[in-house]
Amino acid sequence: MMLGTHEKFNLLRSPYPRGGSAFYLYEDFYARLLRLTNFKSMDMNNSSDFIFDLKLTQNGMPVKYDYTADAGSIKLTGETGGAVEIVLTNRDHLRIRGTNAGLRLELRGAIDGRGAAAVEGVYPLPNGSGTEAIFGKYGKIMFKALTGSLVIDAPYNYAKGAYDEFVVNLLPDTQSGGFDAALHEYVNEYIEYPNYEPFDELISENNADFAEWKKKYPPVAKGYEETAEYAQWVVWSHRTKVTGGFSSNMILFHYQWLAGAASWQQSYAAMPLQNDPYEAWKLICAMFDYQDKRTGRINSMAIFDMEPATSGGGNHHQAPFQGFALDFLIRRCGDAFLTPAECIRMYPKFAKWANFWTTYRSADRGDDLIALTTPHQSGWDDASNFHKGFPTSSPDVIAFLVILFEACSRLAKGAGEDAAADDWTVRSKKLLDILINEFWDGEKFITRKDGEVVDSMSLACYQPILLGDRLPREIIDKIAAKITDESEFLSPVGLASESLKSPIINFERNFVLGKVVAPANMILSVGLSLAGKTKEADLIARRFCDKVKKEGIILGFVPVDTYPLTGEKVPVFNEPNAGDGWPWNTWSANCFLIMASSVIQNQ
Amino acid sequence: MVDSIQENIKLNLSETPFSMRGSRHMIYEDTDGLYYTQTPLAPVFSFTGSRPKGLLKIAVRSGGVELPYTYNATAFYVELVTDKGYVRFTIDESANALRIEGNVPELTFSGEFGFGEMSAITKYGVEMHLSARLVFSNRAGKFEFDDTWQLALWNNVDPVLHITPEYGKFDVVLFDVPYDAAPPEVTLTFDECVNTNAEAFERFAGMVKTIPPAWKPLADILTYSIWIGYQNAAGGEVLFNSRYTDTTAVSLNHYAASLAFNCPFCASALIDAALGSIKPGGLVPSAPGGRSEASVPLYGFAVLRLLNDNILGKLPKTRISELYTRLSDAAEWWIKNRYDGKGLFYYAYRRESGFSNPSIFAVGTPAITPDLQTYLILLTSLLIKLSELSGNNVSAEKWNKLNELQLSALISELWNGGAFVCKDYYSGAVKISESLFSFIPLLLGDRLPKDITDKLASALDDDASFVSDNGLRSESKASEYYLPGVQGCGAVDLTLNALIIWGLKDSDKHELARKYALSVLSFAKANGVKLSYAPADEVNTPPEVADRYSPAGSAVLIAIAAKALDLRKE
Repeated sequence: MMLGTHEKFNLLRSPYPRGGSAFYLYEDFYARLLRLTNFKSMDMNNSSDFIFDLKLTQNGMPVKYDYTADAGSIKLTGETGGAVEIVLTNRDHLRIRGTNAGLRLELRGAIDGRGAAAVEGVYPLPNGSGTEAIFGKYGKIMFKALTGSLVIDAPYNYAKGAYDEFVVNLLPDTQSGGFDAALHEYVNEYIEYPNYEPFDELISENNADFAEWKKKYPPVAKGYEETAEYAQWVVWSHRTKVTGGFSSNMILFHYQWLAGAASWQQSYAAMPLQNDPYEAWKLICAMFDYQDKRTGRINSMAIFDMEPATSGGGNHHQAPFQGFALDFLIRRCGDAFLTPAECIRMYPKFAKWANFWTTYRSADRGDDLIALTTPHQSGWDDASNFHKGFPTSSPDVIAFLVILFEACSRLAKGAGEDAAADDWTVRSKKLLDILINEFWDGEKFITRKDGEVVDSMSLACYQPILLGDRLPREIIDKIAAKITDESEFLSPVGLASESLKSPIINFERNFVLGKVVAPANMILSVGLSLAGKTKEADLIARRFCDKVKKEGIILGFVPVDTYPLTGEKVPVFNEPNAGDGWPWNTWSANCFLIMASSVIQNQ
Repeated sequence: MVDSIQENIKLNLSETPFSMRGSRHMIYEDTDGLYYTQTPLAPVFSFTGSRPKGLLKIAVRSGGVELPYTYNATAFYVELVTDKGYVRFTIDESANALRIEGNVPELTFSGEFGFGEMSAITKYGVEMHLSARLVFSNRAGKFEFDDTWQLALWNNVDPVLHITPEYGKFDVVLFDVPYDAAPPEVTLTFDECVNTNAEAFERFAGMVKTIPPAWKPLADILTYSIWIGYQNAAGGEVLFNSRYTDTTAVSLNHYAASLAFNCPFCASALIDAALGSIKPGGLVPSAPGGRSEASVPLYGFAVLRLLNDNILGKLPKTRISELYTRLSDAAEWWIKNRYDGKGLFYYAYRRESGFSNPSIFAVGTPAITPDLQTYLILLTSLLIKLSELSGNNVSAEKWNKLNELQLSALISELWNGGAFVCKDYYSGAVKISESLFSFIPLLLGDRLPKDITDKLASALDDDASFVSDNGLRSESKASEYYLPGVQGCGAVDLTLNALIIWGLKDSDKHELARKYALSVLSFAKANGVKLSYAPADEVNTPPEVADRYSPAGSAVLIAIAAKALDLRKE
């Protein structure tokens, strides 16, 4: 697994982080320089003040450099010789060493003219062991030269009331030609680090840690091994430690654009971890730490700055995906991880979450039919089946709820509550009947608002295939045929989220009004696979995964160059942005890993 | 009493919003009419940018045409009057709601959605999710509302709620209610709400220090501004700098604002809103619940004031014990992280002074400055007394030793015979800062030799330096570092003025204290209260809309007046 200047993939669209580290690096699209920052403030890359340019220096002057990066470290090599290596750790600090080169870190905010706006103070420690700098809401950094020297240039401009610049020069020892430095990040108080490990030991540790993490995944289909390793690295490197608002190890969505752990994405991350279902189960349960005690709602996101007990995000929550993930895991790995103790612990929480839907998202019919109040509750923020507004009963979420009820039944049984287990099974079957009898129109699943049908050509109309073999054969056959129709949904790169025949298809700033997106492809291909349509599932998964192989771990792809109905050219946005079409991310990584290991058949 | 309070506090809503303590509901007047808005909470997720104006514009219409109106606003209700009827608003604290009743042909609330905001018509009424969940519920009258969803924009069409009477009137409740919660029951009539709020305010007003009757109209509006400035944030109740333009809470201002109260519970709650954020290592952050630099250690002075006013003892023993623990932990933090070992302390960062850029740092950083020594001498003085009160003689002795060393070092190292100086901690370089910070040692009162306080008072009272017609400049006009519009660098800072005035009083410089107090009070009477503003002979920007009286600033001003003015004589 390698990223670099001359490698297949570089750090323009992928960050370079490490699980448990707040620091990360990336390559600036415009300056073509590596940059260093910290994710905790959640400021996006295109607006943060807290970013350092990294310049390799020789004899004090910046020189051009290439870089290569793997799980162990990232190495910058100067065009005239000399090299600097950076190793991220899970201990609140990173280490930097140089040989015949120095490293200059220049604070430069993302927005032109912001310069060193982030720095508010510089304090060399009285004992000479380091220099602390304070960066307002971004926290503090302690800069320490372990060998070689460290010089900080930070002229203060009284009239401006700010620093004109903040430049840190890490300089090699004149004798040995090398340096070794540590940068510690923290919010309040610095805690002295007792013993700095040998640099190479940290690299080995990172490699070993990643190697251990990879063991949690089963093999993938032939031809996808290399991409799978990239995907596994993305997930490993985005794994938080228990700190701040993260009450357990969670998987961040991004570092650069949305540095939070999205609630349903923890379950996406669980599904491919089939060699370690205990770890997978921990992820499925992670967001229940934030469950609203009154309503049972599960918060949509955990971020660094949020107290775990606080139910933040107001109205925000995501689809009840946990049952689907648990069902998938049990089918692949068995249920040994659902010990009686775990069932006793989690059954009440799952039950409360399920009842949140039927109480607070009730369609008010006196049964378990639900109605969403925002599209984000389905995960499909702009799906066309929501064009009539809210409250709306959409079949994709109803399907998730059917399986969540089953999960409640399974957990209740494991907790020794047989009567409750039976009750949940009955509820699940009833809701499934409602879905089939009231939401299947013979061709597709429909959405209803105020009881009326909402016409739509969204892929979401077929998502209830996630129920797999719970659905009648004729429904399975219809869905399989429809979504593999290349004039409708199946594009060369996977399933389009809106029919290619739809007059409202849009590939620009929207999410699921046409783009081919990882989660939809995963859900539908897994569903087809569970329904016995393994050939169709394989076809869809291969198309998407092949695109990922080529382009990288991206969330969404435009499937065509021109709009099918009008022939108009589809504009291309090829600059850094927070949208689905640009950055590497764990959501796509996990979807790829699921499809590559569990849907695509070895031929 | 209620009637007289209502009589005295008439609101100009373009200067002072209508609201109440703990309520996010606000009505204010912008350039184009009245708006309903809310004090924003820090969002976990917000795709919305800041709005140029309030959340919802209030308008009265008839036959599709907007009607002109006038309004009467008191501290407890707002009434719009048109030639076609009236509308009245008040806050129902028991239901966390804004009550609206009237009989005009049509009342509208209209706004603009940001990305991701939304509305819905539900069984509770019309809901708008605009930074919070607003639920309009009609007890009488009719609603008309368009909640059309805009698919590609991820929100509904901009909200416009039309309210019309039924049987001659409408009675609407605007709830601020958590998501997925039913609005609470409404049990009070409109007038009961008005009276309840007036009684709550009267109780609050009784806890604020009294200032001379000549200033009563100003005192009333200041007290009201403080009252509405209390909001729930950072896990507790804090006092905002402003309800509208600067909804932040700053630790320094909390310590200074606590001086306005003769109620020890109110005062200690304000102190604790800041001190309570203390970290395990003893660092007290500069903003309640936030920021990573240390707060200026004014908390010692603030609590010492309670002791000196003989009101600390009214707090429960457990509370006093808790205060002692926090204060001694904070002191230990300064000793561990900012102490030279010989009686002097230093600021590592400018903002640890409570200001971003005062000239006490012209000597360099880290800086040993006279203001910091003063605050920490007062802190250790307090710790001596609290130790003695609790019978802990060992601690008392320890703090006493340090206190003596501090005072001795302040005079021997930082007093040059004519002024207090600042020192670069590393180089030892010395520089006089021509700022008010150099006069903060006046707070030590009779701990300082009289000749020092005499010299300080004399140096202060100089029109060419610090004195201006609207308060003491934070930096001397003659200084090369003078920046009249900048906090701590030349502007008149109310908090600094309060500390200087307090120090002058405690140093028996009563006339000077009175003089400076009158200058800030007179300016406030004519221009409103900002925490920081340009001296009278410089260009001053007018207050922002609905921001004439800063809540934190109002408390500081009352503290100044109560300390410096003689109740019997003024």
